[in-house]
Amino acid sequence: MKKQKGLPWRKVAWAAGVLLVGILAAGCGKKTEGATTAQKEFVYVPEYHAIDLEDGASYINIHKDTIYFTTGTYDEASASYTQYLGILKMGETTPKLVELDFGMDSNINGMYVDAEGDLQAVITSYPSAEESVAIDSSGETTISEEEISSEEVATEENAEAETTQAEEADGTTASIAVSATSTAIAVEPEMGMFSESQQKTELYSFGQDGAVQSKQDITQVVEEAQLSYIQDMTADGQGNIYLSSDQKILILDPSGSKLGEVEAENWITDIFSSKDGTVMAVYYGDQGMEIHSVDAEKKQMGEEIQELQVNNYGNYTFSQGEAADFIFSVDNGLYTYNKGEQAAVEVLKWTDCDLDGSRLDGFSILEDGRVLAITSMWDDQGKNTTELVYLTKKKGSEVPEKKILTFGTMSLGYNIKSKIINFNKTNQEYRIEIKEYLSDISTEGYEAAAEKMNADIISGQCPDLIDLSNGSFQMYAAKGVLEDLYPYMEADAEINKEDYLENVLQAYEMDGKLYTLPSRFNINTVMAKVADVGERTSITTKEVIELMKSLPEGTELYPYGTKQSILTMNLMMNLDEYVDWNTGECRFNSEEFLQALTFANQFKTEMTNSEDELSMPTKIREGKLLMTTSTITSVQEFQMYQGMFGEPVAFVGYPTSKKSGSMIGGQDNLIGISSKSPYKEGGWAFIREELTKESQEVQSRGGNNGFPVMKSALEAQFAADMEEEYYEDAEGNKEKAPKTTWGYDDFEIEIYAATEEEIAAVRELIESANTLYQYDEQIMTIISEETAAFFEGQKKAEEVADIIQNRIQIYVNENR
Amino acid sequence: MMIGKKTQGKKLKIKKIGMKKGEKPEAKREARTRRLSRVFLAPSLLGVLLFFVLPFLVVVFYSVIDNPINRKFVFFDNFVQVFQNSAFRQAAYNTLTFSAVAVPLAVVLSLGLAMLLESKMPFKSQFRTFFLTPMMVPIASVVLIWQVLFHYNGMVNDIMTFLGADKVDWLKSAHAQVVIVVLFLWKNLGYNMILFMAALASIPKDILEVAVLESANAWQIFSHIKLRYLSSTLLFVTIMSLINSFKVFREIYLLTDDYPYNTVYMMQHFMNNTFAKLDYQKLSAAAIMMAAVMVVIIGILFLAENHFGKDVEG
Repeated sequence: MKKQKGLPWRKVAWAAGVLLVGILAAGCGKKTEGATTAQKEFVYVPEYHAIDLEDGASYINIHKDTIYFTTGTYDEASASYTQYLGILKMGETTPKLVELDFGMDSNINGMYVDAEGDLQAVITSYPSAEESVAIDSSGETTISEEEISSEEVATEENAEAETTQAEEADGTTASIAVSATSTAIAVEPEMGMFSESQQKTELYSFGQDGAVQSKQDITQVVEEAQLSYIQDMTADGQGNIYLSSDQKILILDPSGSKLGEVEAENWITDIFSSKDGTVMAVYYGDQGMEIHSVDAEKKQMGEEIQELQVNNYGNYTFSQGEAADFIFSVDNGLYTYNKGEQAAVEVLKWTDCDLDGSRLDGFSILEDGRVLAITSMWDDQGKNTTELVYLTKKKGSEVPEKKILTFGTMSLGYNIKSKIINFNKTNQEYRIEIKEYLSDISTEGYEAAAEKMNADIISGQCPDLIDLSNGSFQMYAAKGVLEDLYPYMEADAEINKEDYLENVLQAYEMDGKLYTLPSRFNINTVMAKVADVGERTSITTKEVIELMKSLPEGTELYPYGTKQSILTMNLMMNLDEYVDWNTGECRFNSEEFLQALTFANQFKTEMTNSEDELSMPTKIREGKLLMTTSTITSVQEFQMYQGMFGEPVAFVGYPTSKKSGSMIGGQDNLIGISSKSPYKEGGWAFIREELTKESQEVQSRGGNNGFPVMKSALEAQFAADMEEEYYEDAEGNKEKAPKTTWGYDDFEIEIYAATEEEIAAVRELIESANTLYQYDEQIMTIISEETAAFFEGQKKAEEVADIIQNRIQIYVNENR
Repeated sequence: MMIGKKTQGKKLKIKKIGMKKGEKPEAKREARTRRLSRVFLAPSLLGVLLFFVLPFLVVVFYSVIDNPINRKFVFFDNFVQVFQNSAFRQAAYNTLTFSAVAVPLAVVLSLGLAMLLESKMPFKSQFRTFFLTPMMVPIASVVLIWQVLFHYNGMVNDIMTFLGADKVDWLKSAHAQVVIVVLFLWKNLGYNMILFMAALASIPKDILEVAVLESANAWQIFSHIKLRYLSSTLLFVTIMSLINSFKVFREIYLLTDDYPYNTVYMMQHFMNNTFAKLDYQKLSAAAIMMAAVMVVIIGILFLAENHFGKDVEG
């Protein structure tokens, strides 16, 4: 009896325990403590060495302790470009530059370092009769002395070996002999001489000091193989030379004689030699990027090395070195792979080392274990910065400790990547690490990545900074995921809310809170001639329909307008006329919607590109097109559109019954701070960088990066747009100069300083817009799915409208 | 020898621990068996706790908080909100209607087929295979076949047009639920039929023979003997069909997407869509309500089975 009484209590205790564990399990995962760099097992510490190169570095080859590359300088006075071979020893920052003078139109198409450490290059040139070939009175033709410097003297033995016969396409032959005693190369024409347009292809061998040791003319063999443009060059373990062009690889023996050709299925993006001397080719196959060995004996591509697949559609770059059979960079990672291994091993992520993988010119794993990366960057003024970056592996505890913020994004944008790298380089307290969710670019891959990101956010593993560029910020904000930025603005001595455009803030606000803000914005609008629509800032769907009726037959409403696009345009800002989110009422079976459907049905189902089709600017000027959609990103762009219309323009925006039909769009990345982040201050430190006066007033070249959100920066931008530019004509008179040239299809216009009226028009456009580009994807998908049957003539408008009403009503009810 | 000694020592030790003053040897053996059985049960118990009980408790937790980020306790607010949501009510109504129609049909038709195939008829084996074929067809293919048949430009409408009738938008009209019921029956009849055939084969032949000798007619044999012996199978088939009727969402989703015509908008549409929007609290509240209804329905079925089958169960 006693036992029976006690048992239920034990069961109750068990159940309570399980319940407690369950609730704890549900509540766990909350992010309370943040990570720091000290907790990391190891990090790569970068050491930067800038190299002064005006034109950056190309064809980089890293061999043991030497880096070979080509570079150049442009002399504006003589309008001439001089090419150099650069040789840089490890640890040094000033390269030895050897001038390469192969004629005006010469071009290096590929370089590699051979087993002896000498540099081999393939050079194409287009020698003209005047510059390269002179015929003396005795009838002997010589190549001018400039073509080959005294340093480029070949030995007699080499010279003999290099005497070749270059058979011309028309049957004439010219023999080229390199003399050991003379700097000139004699050309003995048998029937004639090189034509001006003929391509000459030569193999050059440079010593380790950059001096030309020998050269071979392979023009004939290249022509016979029909290689139009040599893209790349490498050599195998036996010293055979491989030249790639389009889908073909031409194999030559060390003496320059043809061994064979190998064809690939697709355009070859890269050829390189692995550590054991096997030549590999990279090209797109059925499954994306494929890496195959080149079988010189069978004259065909060998088997694909599937283990090298990291990202099927990534941009692979390979490097030679002793560290592994294959060393390669793809996307954001450096990888090694040794034959026989299951898969490639990730050595590092470039962004973890404050490097942008897309700016890499070359890289290698050095014998001492350091990683060498060569990067180059061009700023808005066209100035190049080339850096050697040595990455040393250290324990996390050995480097100054920084708090780690995670930046969660579906796919990392180019601009945001460079901002994160700059932040990591300069901020002493925080460091941002990137978590990219999208690895598969298919629709299913995108959905899976979005689910993973959402699961992380909900389960407490939320990134500290969230990329909101996919337009999901309203949903996240409604769920309490995002932190309000206003309190941070108020606490910040440098950032004041009043300094920013109220209408832009208003557009991004939700219930008086600001969860994200772009640093630059643009205006999505629709433009029409004032003569057609009058002075106005908005137009209703009914007015558009009426206007269309009054226009001559054949006049288009919007450019490239199809049934679907016209309907979408008419619904873009009018969804609230069909959906009342407060009452949950939908009115897609209303007369207005039926009218919109019938109106859209007048247009073409699909756009067909015919040669007779007029360009959009011509249609506008000839009155055959009523309106055009546009995204105004700058005053200059507005000037271009005004020039295109050729008369006063009204920004009517997308059809709506509201005051303005124009919308604000984020030009820049939208970022939010997680409300559960332990390092919210760090998140603000990152976001505020783009909102400071200094960042806001940076005017980019061309001025098409959007309008700054700071009032003073916008005014400074306007002032710069109004500033005249001058040039002096031949008589020394000061004349107004165009700032730049803009074009659209066949229309081109020189942009001069903006007038007061133009600035006022842009200012008015900006001030009129205070809503965001709102696109309810689900509603638009349902409408698009169902209207297809109506537009194809299979169903009546009423039938389609009823189905749309039915399906959207479910959606609306569910979300209330 | 050493091993034997050690083992002996262990046994002695157990004896020492397990022995209590005045305890009988049977009771000790029973206690030991119970402890041992718990050890053997532990892995299963842990599995059930980890994969069923804990997730369910997590769902309970989510159903009583405002959202997964703030985690503020709101008691039954989510249940009230969900119950007042007209989309939820529509989904619940559709799901119940579908189950109320499809499950009895699936049970009755499959029982009828089983009895038909049990009787003396030609091509029995071929018919059995024919009815089982839908089980082997992958769901993607099933959906494709149904699209070919019931699309606005599908085969059924082609035939109707040929016969002079108007086209019917089968999947985007009130007819959609009929299409889904037919699909459900097509997919599930074979499996149910096999279960009934097995149950029919296990009915004692002597009882049936006695009934025939005593001049019982076919209906009397069916209702008084066969049905009683089939009661546990009937319960099992009904529960399985009920569960499968909730799973019909998969086919509907593939045929009609996230937001279908309202007659085929099911509970799982509501749950899937709220999950995608991170409304875990709404999802959890809806799931608990649905689970409660399921428990009631299955409880009623158990009671019915006890009532009808009690005299044939050992």
